[in-house]
Amino acid sequence: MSRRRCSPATAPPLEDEDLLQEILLRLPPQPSSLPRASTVCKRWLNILSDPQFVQRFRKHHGKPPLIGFFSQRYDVFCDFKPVLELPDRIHAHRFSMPKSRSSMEQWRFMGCRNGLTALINECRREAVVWDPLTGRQHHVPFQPGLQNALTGSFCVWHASVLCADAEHGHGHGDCILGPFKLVLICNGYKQAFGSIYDSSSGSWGNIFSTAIANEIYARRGNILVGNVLCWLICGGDVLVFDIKTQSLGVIEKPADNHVTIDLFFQLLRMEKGGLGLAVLSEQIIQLWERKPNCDGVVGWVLLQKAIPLKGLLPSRKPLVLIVGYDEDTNATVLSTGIGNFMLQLDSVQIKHIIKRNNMCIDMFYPYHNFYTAGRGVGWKWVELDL
Amino acid sequence: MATREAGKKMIMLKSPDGMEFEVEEAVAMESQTIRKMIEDDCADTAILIPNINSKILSRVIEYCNKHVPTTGATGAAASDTVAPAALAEDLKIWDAEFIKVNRATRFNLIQAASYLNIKGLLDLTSQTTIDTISDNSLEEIRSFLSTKNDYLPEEEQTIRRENQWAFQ
Repeated sequence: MSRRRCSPATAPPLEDEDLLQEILLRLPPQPSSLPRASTVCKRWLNILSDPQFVQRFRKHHGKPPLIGFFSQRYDVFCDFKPVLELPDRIHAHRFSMPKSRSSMEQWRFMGCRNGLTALINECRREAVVWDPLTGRQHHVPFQPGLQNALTGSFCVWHASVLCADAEHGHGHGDCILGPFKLVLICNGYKQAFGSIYDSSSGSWGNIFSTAIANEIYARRGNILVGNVLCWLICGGDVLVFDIKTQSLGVIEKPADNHVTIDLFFQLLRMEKGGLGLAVLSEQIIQLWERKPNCDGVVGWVLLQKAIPLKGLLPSRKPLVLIVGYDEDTNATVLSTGIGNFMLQLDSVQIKHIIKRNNMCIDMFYPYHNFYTAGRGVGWKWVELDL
Repeated sequence: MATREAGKKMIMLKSPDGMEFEVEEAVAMESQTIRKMIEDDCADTAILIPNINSKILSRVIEYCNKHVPTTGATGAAASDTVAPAALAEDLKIWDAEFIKVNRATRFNLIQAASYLNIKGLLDLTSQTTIDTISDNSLEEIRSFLSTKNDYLPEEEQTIRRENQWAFQ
């Protein structure tokens, strides 16, 4: 709403700064929208690149559009696959990715949330929170206590980032400026340790640990369900880190699930905000959800709804893999012999997002954000070692 | 002057060109500006709405009349008997007809909606303006909105080059 209240504007509305802002707030949320409008005149550029306007723009539109997917194979970092049509198609060269110092050094992609991405560099013993749109990076050395917890034994690191700005109506977008939280998990033999980093204090919290039967499945991203971060453990159990109560634990897999191949599991954030599990078996996706039974005990329940992929996907190349998940829209990314599909699990709507003639096993990490102006004249990448 | 008619509290709104409009208080309170005046007890006489002429004010009242949550004889919300989705669809169609006005009237409605703080009307008028220009060329946008291109030639060249991708 306009902040002017003393009297209605007497000038034509587009001469009135507040009213012009009101109108420009309604520009579409697609990436090309603000850059195009900022070429109309300097006055518009000044408004559209003003951080306060950008914040209002994000709040007005709420959920940012899905720009595309970061993808990663076992050993190759890292590509970006745009999903929007021209002129909203953003290619990888617009992102300034963290650089490796040597060919030995490897970045592992951990996923995106609130416009931020989390990466791990095990050589440097650090996690990086990276804002792909501005290039800003926040380097966080591993929690020293976590490194020492498993001295001498092999371990694998996992990380997850989320915005911690609790201000009412905060629109995600510039969350790299903080506050944000970074959760680091150190997965050793039959054990997992976790700790949480708070960017506002620049410090790590306590170390938590739990016993786990298998290792965390590396080909799945973590998901956030309420205040709980969840990682799929090989075999179907779930490692859960509650950010609010600060606890680490394990939810056991559904006892009646007979599928054992991790490649066919995907953790879900269900429509009502609970934890779910999709299990792909013989071209049918079965859905499980954590629900209380008549005694109030929460457990896995197999939902009546199952999604047959036959008919949705081409039948001539029937092999289907789950290669990604978008927690914001409850949609899985499927890989087939003719490319990638995005399947929204509530509406069962399917979209062919990437076309190709072979099966690709790259993991897909969805990236949502507003592509805001302010990178016109004199704009350049910023790399901050904070 | 606040009066009562058929059990409903009425409010008088005056435009600067001397026209008076008697409206139900609930309708007038669709405007957050008027609501605040009423709640602060500054509205027991007629409320003068500065700089909004009678033609625009009557359109604003028409909008508020349509959008005020209606109540039946028992006081139950009308939406108890009509499906909310159908009600919303009906309003959408009505809005689309309502906003079929010329550019000057639309701009006047934006000003009025902003001053009177009527979120729905501000959304409708501003969004319609953006939708009108979103597929236009830069020159058409400048012309439609009477906006002057104040870039220096070299600045315009730079910004167009930087943002060329957005015009593909």
